[in-house]
Parts: sequence; structure tokens; C-alpha cells
Amino acid sequence: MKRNQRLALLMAASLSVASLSACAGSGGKGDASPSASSGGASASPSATATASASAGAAKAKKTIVFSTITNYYTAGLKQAAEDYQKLHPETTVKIDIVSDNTTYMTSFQAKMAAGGDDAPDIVHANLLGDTPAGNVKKGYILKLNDFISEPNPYNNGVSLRDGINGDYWPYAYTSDGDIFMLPFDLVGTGFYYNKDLFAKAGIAETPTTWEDLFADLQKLKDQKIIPLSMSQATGSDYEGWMVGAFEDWANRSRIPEIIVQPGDARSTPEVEAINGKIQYKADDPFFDIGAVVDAERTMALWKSGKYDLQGPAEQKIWSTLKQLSGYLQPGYATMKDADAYQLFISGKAAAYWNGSWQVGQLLKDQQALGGKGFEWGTFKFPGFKQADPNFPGAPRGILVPGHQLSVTNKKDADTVARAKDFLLFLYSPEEAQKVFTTTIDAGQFVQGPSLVKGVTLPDEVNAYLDGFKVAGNMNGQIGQIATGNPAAEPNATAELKGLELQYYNNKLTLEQFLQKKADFVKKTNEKYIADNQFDLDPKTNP
Amino acid sequence: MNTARWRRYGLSYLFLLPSFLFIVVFLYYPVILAFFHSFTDWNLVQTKWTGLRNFRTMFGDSSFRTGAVNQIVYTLTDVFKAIVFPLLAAELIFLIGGPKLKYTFRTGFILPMLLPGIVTILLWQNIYDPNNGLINQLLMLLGLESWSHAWLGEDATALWAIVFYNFPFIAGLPFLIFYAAIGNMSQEQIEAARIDGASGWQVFARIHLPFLVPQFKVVIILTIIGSLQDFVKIMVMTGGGPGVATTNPAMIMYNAAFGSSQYGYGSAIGVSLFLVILVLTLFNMRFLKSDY
Repeated sequence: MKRNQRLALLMAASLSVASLSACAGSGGKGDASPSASSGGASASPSATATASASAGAAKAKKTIVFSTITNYYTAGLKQAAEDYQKLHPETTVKIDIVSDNTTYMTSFQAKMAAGGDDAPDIVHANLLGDTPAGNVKKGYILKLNDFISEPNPYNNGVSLRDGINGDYWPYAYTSDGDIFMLPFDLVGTGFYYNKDLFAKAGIAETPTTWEDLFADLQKLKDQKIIPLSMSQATGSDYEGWMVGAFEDWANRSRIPEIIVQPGDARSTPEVEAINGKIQYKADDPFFDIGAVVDAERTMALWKSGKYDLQGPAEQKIWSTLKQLSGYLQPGYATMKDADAYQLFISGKAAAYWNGSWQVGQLLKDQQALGGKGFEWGTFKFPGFKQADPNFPGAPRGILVPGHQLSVTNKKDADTVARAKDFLLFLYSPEEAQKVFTTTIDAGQFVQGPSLVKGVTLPDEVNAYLDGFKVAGNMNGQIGQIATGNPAAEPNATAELKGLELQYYNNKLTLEQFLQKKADFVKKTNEKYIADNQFDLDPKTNP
Repeated sequence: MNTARWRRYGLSYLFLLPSFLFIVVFLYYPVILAFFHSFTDWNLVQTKWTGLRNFRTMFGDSSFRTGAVNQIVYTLTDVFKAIVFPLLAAELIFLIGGPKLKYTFRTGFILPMLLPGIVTILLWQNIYDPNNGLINQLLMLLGLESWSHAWLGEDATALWAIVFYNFPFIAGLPFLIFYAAIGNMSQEQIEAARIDGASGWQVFARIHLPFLVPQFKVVIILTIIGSLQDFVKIMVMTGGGPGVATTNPAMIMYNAAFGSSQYGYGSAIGVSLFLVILVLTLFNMRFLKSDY
């Protein structure tokens, strides 16, 4: 019995230790992200600002809610809210911080479906769970057509239309030709790189072609450095931007075929005015700025089979991406972006693919690292060394207004007026400058250069942002003819990613992969056509 | 209810009423709604009757089929882990002499219950981390670098990495259930068996196991329910990936409902999971007969 007891004791002890070790174990991953702190900017209100008639007339105390995502100008917006309240004690602006995009979208749609009383008053138009036109049609967000032409009392009477960089207004139109948002800043995608690690591998210049990029990544790999860190996990698949850029490059000559055209059921005079100017030119990456694309025409183009889903362009795109996958960090298929970033900031990965919004975080983290930090820079999505007729012109990427602010369509006109007044205040050069400065000081996301005229960023920040200024903005919809899933269903996204990974891991040949991808595109596009009752004749309204 | 009963119990019923109303409004009503919406195309704004289309879509979806197969693996291994390891731990502690030692080990097994689930999940995600993780670091120290993997990032290992999450699988609740039951067994019966020459194994197999059947039923039912509903650890650790290698129906349901506003389709998956749980529970009740 005693022997049994000793045996039991030994086994229980080992199990207990194993159990506790599982709870006490550490992966050894340090948290390089310092906590955000606010401060730096003065809180004095704009000297030139005067209360607008709409807000000034309303004396009752009210709260308007500005809903944003964690870290997106959070500190700057709070500063603006405080400044505004000093001018308008009768209006409290609450900056409501939502943790993630999915919650943001779901919450907005659910609150608006329930009548909208509990919905925030100012929202991010690109996170509303439906197309801008859809949200305007449903009465969830306001048309801002007249609002942007009103004189802004906080900017010496200069209207929003004139106070915001005019190059990017075309992005503010819905497919029905209405203004649905106010652009605040510009975002772009690109590569961050660790200059010290590049130098250690003998790389003197940043690559501008895929061939050079692969040569450089190989040099880094030879030095036992993770060449490139990029998340491809479900929900943070940043390779998707590369796929989008490649598909846009291969297909943008077909964009005129998918935009709304005169005589189409969805055509309006406003849309005609925008789309009428669009003409494809290989050497003009901005040729389609603001183009209003028609989903039915996109599906009709796919159905026509004009683009060969197994042709040379597709072969080149996917073999390039497969080659790139060989230089990614181990576990990239399920590694979230935060962990991919940790590899870069901790000096384990030499390059990191992300967007301009990460600049603020990197600046802050480098500051926190002090002597252990490293020199870093940015470079653009590369081209091909030899001109390829399947990829005319220069590659584009994401280059659009990032912070797109809309006003919720609420029943209470006074609340709507106060929300609009706060936006006028926010888009004054002085206050917008303060938002940027405060945000940078707090190490939060400044997504890119400001689109509010008169706002300037430090030279250091501008230098980093240069790597994200790609040739132009890719068209997000043209890629649907090659990758399907126009409804962007997460389950379908995961299915396609599964196929890609099988190809990258040599479980499928290129031909097999392209065949399976074509089947996937057929399945998802046909479901989309059926769900939307498209007859693929854009002249008729389904 | 007559006046006398009302006088005696009325106040109690009144106190129960708010809780019951909450349960009806926030649990039963949504469940009934989900049944209805599983036959519709519902995006929170519009509802369109579509009959069995959502169910046909579900069974025709290759990702769902992969998820269902994964779920079978998860559930079978979850039940195995919930029975074998906590029972083993409970038996071992029961055999240890001295109340202080018993108390120490019991506390040792229960303490991890106090950790929020997400903390344990993140710890295990770190343990599996391909670059800094405990497992790969250990393999490197042992000179077995070639054995290292991106445990959660490779097709071949991701599913089993999730299965081996929380090794050695001594979940607090099943452990407590078994330990309490073993402590309540008739010691006279066990002593009599030993006097009659029964070995330790015979005592365990002939006395302990039959006595523990009601506990097995409870643990199995709770584990099956938990397993079918669980998607948090999958979502945090792999997001269902690589691709769909580790997904399960609950994850697909979440993605459909909250990722693409297909609430009708999500409801259909939810209803199917409910029916599976119901069938398995009934099967469990019938199959594992006991006097309790």
C-alpha cells in the first residue's frame, strides 16, 4: 500500500507540476508596445473659431457620440472634444472607442436597425458593414452634398469642400453620386524595413523590383534573419492587399467595362458626370479616381471569360506570391499582425508589410527602445524588372482617404446639427493640426498625410510616409473577376486561403491551384449573382 | 394556487419572477427566434423566407464539412481528456496519505481554474509560438531543432496543437466532481473488497468506476456542450486556419453571422448544433444508465 501511495504521490506531483507549468510558461515574447499616453498639444481653442448658428442656438445640454477604433487618433480626438466643449459647454462630445472592426460594423448595423437612437452620431464610413450607397439608401447615414458647401465658421468661412484636398473628393461619392463622407487623411500600404539588418546582409539600396526584392530577401535568409514578416491569418490577411494590387495591375485596363455607364439602370447625372471623365491610360494611375463601379457589370465581365483565370498573368501573380511565402516568418498562416509586428520591432524580422497607419506606433516604440532601437525606413510595392505586357504601367496599391467620417442619420435634428458642427470644428486647420500632433505624441495611429489643407507633419514622419505613396489607388472590385467572393464572406475567404496555402506548401501544383481557384471564383460569384438577382444586363434594374 | 399556498410561497414566486423573465427574454426568446430565422435570409433589417436553403447550403459547403470533421475530433478528444485525466488525478490524490498533502495537491489542480480562460489560451499560443515559443526553444536546447514546427501555422500540426492545448488536461470542474464522488464512496465496501483480496486495479474497475457512472454522465454532457459551443480558443489561436484546417461549425456560424451579416445562415448552423447536442445528450442519458 505504501508503495502504491508513493507511486500515486509521484504521479500526482508530476501531473500537478505539468499543469501549473502550462499556466506559468512564457513564450518569451516581450511586449514592445508601450502604453499610450496623451499630452503634448495645447488645449487652447481656436482663436478664429466662432460658434456656428446651429449649435449656438441650442442651449440644452446634449452629448454627441463619435465612435472610433482603438488607437485611431484616440488621443487627438479626445483633445478635440475637450477643445470643442470649451467653446460649446452645452455640447459634450464623447469619444467612444470600439476595440475592433467587426464589432464596430455589427454594432452600427444592429443599432440602426433598432431605430438608431443608441447609434453613435459620427462614424467611420468605411466600417459600417454595408456599401456607402446601401447605408444612405437605408437612411443610416446622411447625404452631405449641401453640408460640404456651407461656410465653415471655424475656418474663416472656407467650406469643407475647399478646406479639404480636392484630389480626394471623388472618393467621397456613393455609387448614386451622393457625398457620404469627409476625408481626413490618406492611407497607403508598403514595406517597413530595418536598415541595420539590411546593412548587415550587405543590402545598400531598397529594392524596386520583385527580382531585386527576392535577391535581398535571400541575402537576409542566408544571414539567418527572418526576411519578411507579414500576417496571413484569417481576419488579418495582409497578403490580400498584395493580391489586390497584382490583380489591379493585370486588369485595370478593364475598369472602364465595370463602371456605371450612360443608359445603365444605376446611372444618374451625378454618376455620369464622374464616370464620363474616365478613360484608361496605362501611364496614368489616377485615371479612375472616384469611378463608380457597378457590381453587376463586374460580374458580367467575369462571366464573359475575357480574363483567363489560368492564363499567364495569373500564373505570374501566384508564382510570385508563392516565392514570397518562402521568405515569410514561420507560422505566417495563422500569425496575427500584432505578432508579425513584434518580430519586426524586436529586430528578428528585417522587413514588415503593413500600412502607413503603423508609422505612429513605430515612432513611439523606437523611442521606448532607446539605444536598443534601430534605423528604419519604408519602400514601395515593387514592379517587375522586365516590362510585361500583362502588367502595364506601374503597380498601384492602397492610396485612399483612411479616416472617412460620416454623420448618422438620426431623427433628432438638433443632435445631427451638433454632430455636423463638431465636424466643422474638427476640419479646421488649427484643430486638425492639433489632432495630428497629439496623436503622434501619444504613439497612436496617424494613418498618413492629412487631407485637411494647412496641416503639416514633421519632416521625419513625412519621410517615412513616402514609402506608402504608391503610383495610385488600386480598384478593389476589378479583382473580383479573378479572386471571387464579392461579398467578402469570411468563411469563403478562409476557403480560398486554404487553397493558396496548399499551393505554397507544394500540395497543389500551380495548374491545380489555378483550376481550384477558378472553381471557387465560379461558386462565390454565382452565389453573389443569385443573391442579388442580377440578370447581368446593367440596363435593367433587377 | 389556493390562498394558503399563495400566502406561504407567494413571495418566493415573486422573487423568482424577475430572473425567470430575464431567462425567457434573453435566452428562450432568442432561441425560438433562431429557429425561425434558420429558415430565412435575415440580415437584421430584412427577413425573407427561404425554407431549407440555409441547411442545404450548410451541408453543401466544403468548409462546413471540414469544420464538422474537425469538430468530431475536438469533441471525442475533449470527452477523453475530461474523463481520463481528471479522474486519474482524483484517484491519485485520493490514494495519497495525509490530509495536508491531499489539500496541497487538490489546491494545485484547482488554482488554474482561477485564471481567465483567455489568459490560458494566450499562454498556450505563446508556448506554440514558432519563433519564441517554449516548445521550439526547448527542442533547440535539446539539439532537436529539426523537430520544431510552426505548431499552429502548419496544416499537419495545427489541429493537434489545439487538441493538446492545456495539457495535462486536468480541468478543475471534472476533477472536483470526480474527487467529491470518490470521497463519498463507502469506505467499508472498499475495505471489505481489499480484505477479500481485491487488487488496486480491481477496486478501481469494479467499485470506483460503476459508482462514478452518474459523474461520467454529467461530465460527458457538459463536455460535449462545451466542445460544440467552443470557438474562442480556435479563434484566438488560429482563426480557424491555416485556411480552414482548424475551423469548426461554431466558428463558421460566428463568421457567417457577425462577419458577413448572414444571420439566417448563422442561425441554421446554431440550430443544427443545438439538435446535435440534444441527440448526444439523450443518447448519453440512455446509454449510460444509472440509478441516479
